[in-house]
Amino acid sequence: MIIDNIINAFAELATIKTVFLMLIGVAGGLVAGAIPGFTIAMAVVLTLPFTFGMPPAQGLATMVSVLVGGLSGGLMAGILTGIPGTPSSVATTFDGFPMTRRGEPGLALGIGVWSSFCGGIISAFLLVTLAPQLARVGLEFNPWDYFMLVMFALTITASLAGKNLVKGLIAGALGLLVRTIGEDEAAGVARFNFGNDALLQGFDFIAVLIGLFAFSQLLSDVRDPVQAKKSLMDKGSVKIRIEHRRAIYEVLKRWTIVVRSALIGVFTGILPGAGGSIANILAYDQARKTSKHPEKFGTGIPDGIIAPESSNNAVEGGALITMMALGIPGDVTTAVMLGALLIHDVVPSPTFIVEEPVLAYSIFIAFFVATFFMVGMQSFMLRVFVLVTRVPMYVLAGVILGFCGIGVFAIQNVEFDLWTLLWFGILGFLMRYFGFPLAPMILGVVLGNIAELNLARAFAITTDLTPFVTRPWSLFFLIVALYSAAYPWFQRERGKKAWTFYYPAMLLASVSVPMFMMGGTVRPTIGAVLVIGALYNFYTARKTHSGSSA
Amino acid sequence: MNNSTSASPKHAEEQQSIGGQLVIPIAAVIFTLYYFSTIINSPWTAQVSAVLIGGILIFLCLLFIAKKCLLISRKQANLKMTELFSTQDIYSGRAAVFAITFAYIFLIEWGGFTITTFLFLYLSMSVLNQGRRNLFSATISLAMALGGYALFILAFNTRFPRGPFEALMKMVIENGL
Repeated sequence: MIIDNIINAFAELATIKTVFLMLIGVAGGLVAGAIPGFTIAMAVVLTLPFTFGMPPAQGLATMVSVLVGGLSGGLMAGILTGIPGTPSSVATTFDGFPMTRRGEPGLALGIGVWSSFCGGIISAFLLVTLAPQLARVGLEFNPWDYFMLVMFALTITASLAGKNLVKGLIAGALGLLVRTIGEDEAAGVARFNFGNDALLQGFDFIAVLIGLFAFSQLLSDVRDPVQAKKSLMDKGSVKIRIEHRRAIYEVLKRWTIVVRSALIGVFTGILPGAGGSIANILAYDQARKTSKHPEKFGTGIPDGIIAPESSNNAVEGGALITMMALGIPGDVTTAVMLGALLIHDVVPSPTFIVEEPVLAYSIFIAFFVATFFMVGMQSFMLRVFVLVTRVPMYVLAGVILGFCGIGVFAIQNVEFDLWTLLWFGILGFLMRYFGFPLAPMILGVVLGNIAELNLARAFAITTDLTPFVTRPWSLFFLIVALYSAAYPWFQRERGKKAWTFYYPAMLLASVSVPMFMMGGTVRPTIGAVLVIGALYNFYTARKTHSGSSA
Repeated sequence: MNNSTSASPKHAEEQQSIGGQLVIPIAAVIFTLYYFSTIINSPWTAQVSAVLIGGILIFLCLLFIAKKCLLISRKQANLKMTELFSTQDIYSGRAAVFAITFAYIFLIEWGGFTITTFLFLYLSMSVLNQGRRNLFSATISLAMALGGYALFILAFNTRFPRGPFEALMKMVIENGL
């Protein structure tokens, strides 16, 4: 069955036009990822309007290619200029740039490229194997569970996205509120439309995203007039040949770092809100902690490039697992991918992989194939990147600004969407300026419909609120949402206050309760393991606490 | 007494300006209250999610505002708007870029896609580069505007706004030169 699906998906994608579009997507993603300030999410958002006219599989394959290209593009800028192209390649600069300055940019780039490739392939494999399993679990979900899952996604995003949890939660709730503008789906009542008929359909989702994310970024970027006139790199400073053979040898020699970092990436990607920006630092940190020579990190060693690059490419595989299986995006980029699916009238849910196997497997295969394209195109795109780095920022800003407008208008050809772009661009700019994180708001906008629809369904079944705490999955998500809300305080006060010693033990013990409620054999066993873990954690915390207070 | 007088200038220096940070929560509360007013006579099913989300948002905003008020009462913060709008915005051209975008959206229906897009790009680039290398900016803007016209209007035949340029090109294409 799986083999049939894979073959059918291959057949769907194996057209000259699709392959060509995927190559362009990878190339575009590589360049976009390499330009500091131009994030992968921006590149994917701006690609979306151009995919409307395509069949769903082709459009999504193009977007996946942009995504894969973007993930690897960040390393070019990071290694050659010391300025990370995307937040997910920050740690790559720690050792990549010193290696370049030492006179080995070709090797640094090669290691980066092949680590990205390995991370991508591991995560593509896990995507194909784990997503259908997770979807099976998702089939157990009822409206209460779904509503709580959305709340958990928003809470964890808010707690991870910024320094201030309340600001993150306000941003998330604002996103949910924006999504409720227009006619209520259940009762058909106009809400919050200021008497404007154009608002009856609500705001166009993509216009809101491009405004919040891309336009606001440009408004922030053009503030410094000196910076606006500069280009990223001086002329004639780069003539590099990627050392593939040596790089492959160096990467394979450190396969444990590759596998561990890729797993960190996949796990981080599965968690809503925790994206590549966290994964690359985590993987780098782990590589340093487990290294026999931690003091060499930061001086330009291969381990310091392999760890972040393997993890940041694996993140999107993880994020796609939750998006495909549960319809919950793991980060802003997959939120946009979810929007693309919705525009193509495909609603990701636990039944999606079963009901639309060819489309689902097309996305898996596209992710896999694009990873190969990325390696093949990196050498060529390096030259394009060097050209792009010579373009002054004011030209790039102007061109991107133009793309934002054209992209938004191309969706529905409605002028109102341009106004949406402008107002949400200003809102996004103000939010950035005053430290309100954008990720929870974007997730709120994307998940608003799912939350509202499931809440309405839940209340249509019963007005009783107890299922939110008596249904195992709903209780599970409620517990992890509460703990994730407390996580910023735990992080800040770790070891300083008494409760922080017991926080992990309490989390494990609390999560075991819904596990026992689920019945069967496997889940109560997991619950029992969690209880043992909690007791052990409690014991060690008590010892540490009494030791530190003495 | 001495202590308090000597401490106050130091306090003034350390004070955070949080006026700007309150703009979004206050606006959110106002919008949410308006939101509630639009659903007051709606069926219960339409009200429930709005009241729930709006209620959470108001609670969070009030919590945020209360925390900031506490900082102000402790003289650790003031209500200044920091430098959200400053002369820097005029020098850098950000205010002008915003105005050009506003004008672009306002005029696109009347002027058509190609001309307004060209003007929008050219003016944005010129403003950001403070009037230097105008020919270069004009060439790039022209290429993008004509590329957009060829792709979206000629090739895809989308309903992009048609203005004088599109009408002229239609005449030229239909009747020949």
